[in-house]
Amino acid sequence: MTLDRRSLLTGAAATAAAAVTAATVPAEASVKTAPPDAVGLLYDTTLCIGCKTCVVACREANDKKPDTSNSNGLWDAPLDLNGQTKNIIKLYKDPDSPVRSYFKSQCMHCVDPACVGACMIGALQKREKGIVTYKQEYCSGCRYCQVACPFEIPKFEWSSKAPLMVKCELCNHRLAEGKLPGCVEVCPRHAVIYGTREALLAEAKKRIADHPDRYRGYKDGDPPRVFGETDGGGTQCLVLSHVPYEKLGLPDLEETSHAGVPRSIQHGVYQGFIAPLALYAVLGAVVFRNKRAQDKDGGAA
Amino acid sequence: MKEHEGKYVLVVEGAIPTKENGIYCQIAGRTAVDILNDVAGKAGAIIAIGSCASWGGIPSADPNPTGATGAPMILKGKTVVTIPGCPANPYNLLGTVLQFATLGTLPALDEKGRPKFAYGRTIHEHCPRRAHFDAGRFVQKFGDEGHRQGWCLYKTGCKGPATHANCSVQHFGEVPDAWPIGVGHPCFGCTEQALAFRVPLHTTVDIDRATPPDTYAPLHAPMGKAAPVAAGVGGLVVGALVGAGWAASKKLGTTEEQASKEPRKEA
Repeated sequence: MTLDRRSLLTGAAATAAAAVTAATVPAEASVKTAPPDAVGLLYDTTLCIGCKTCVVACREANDKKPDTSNSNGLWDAPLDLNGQTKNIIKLYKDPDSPVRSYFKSQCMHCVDPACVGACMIGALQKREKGIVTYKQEYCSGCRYCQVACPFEIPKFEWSSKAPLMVKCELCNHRLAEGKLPGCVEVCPRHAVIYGTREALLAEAKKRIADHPDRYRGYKDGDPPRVFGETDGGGTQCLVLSHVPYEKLGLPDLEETSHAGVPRSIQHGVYQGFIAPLALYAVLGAVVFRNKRAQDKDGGAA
Repeated sequence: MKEHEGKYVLVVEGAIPTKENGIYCQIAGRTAVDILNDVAGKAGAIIAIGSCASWGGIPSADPNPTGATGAPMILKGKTVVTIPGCPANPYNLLGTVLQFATLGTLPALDEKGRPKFAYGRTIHEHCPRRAHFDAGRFVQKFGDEGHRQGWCLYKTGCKGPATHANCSVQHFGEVPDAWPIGVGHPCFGCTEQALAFRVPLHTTVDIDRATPPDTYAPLHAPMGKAAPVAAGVGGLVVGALVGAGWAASKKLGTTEEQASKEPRKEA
């Protein structure tokens, strides 16, 4: 069969039409609230001593091997979260002053997560207690979640032959056994604590009220506040810091989540997989028609 | 021996040669294998002291002409407490014997018969120089500045990360720092059959379960930047592909038109 320019164009037009349909699916209301039983963590940089016990405990709790790829096998020293690291302690050093701060980087468990919005088949979803969990059997490996996340948390197992997405799931397997998340259990200074979002938010606000000069806001000079109360529509993991959040690498997010945008496309286009099937049907019809026309042509000549 | 049958403690010292029916070690015409089987059969507890008795030690090093091996390998099926070490720490023998004498029990053992109280963790886990390892301060060669400063001996071939023993906390004969690392020499791995007299003295070993170093990841992981040349080459490739695609689609159209004008030959 020969491919003509017309069928190429027809195919392209059909694709474009599908895309337009997708874009016009109305966006869902993007203001969401945390479920009443939402749980999370509260991490306080003023208490963290950077011992990395939580990093080791996280590995043990989640059956992840130490990442020695940057150190010739000597140390467990990942440079960032990655396919075998769900939790990492990073260091902020102020260039102009002796101020330092540790920062625990992990999934924030957003109230309205962008990764869930971007996930077309539903591998990433907010499940029990509002925890953003991952079901590998639904993952197509598109890595849209990696792009969508404003905190750059979900990571892909690049070194695996059958790669999965890796991110903190708040040790939900341990929670089910009545245990604490691995990092919380071992923290020697309770710099990271576990509880319901409501209780953690109250505790964080109490700490600010008790020591208003100890904590900071998003930017230098901002009044102290809890990161995650409203950022990006709110997160279930909250942060308190003696260094402006901006300097800790936390993104400057609006008070509403942007998850609605990818969700309207992803959950619209792929709703029940109807649109892709329709597109394939159109393409199939075009091919069938051309083939028939060609056969007829050949028969007549 | 008959009087205390089933009650006495047998402490085996030295490797046992097994080749040629054990003729390489005989006492009064009896081979060591024979004597060991006889005495061990009536013992209340059997302890192999030193690396030779525990797994063969130096005599078992390649090519092992006498077929030397340790007591547990001959006394198969019997509980043999092994206290390897070259030499073995007397405290570990004392602890084991005292427990048997006072409580009539033996200490908890690992899979190689070593008391867990002494061999439960590696030298590396409890090394006085561990902070230097975590900070990346290594002795590069003997006598250098780091060596004088008492830095970590890993790069000079220290077997501490793979050697299970309590040398670092129970110095030999209670003399402070009387153990290899204490006097500035890498651990030899004398308690490990897989290491001592097998892995060369200054060859480094793998870290069994790596732990974080005394450094931190930056807030933003370093990322490479595209070099201008690379960007240019990439642009050229993309441009060429686009051009080729356009040309190809144009050609497709022409051939199609020609095909429709000329009658098909195969028909």
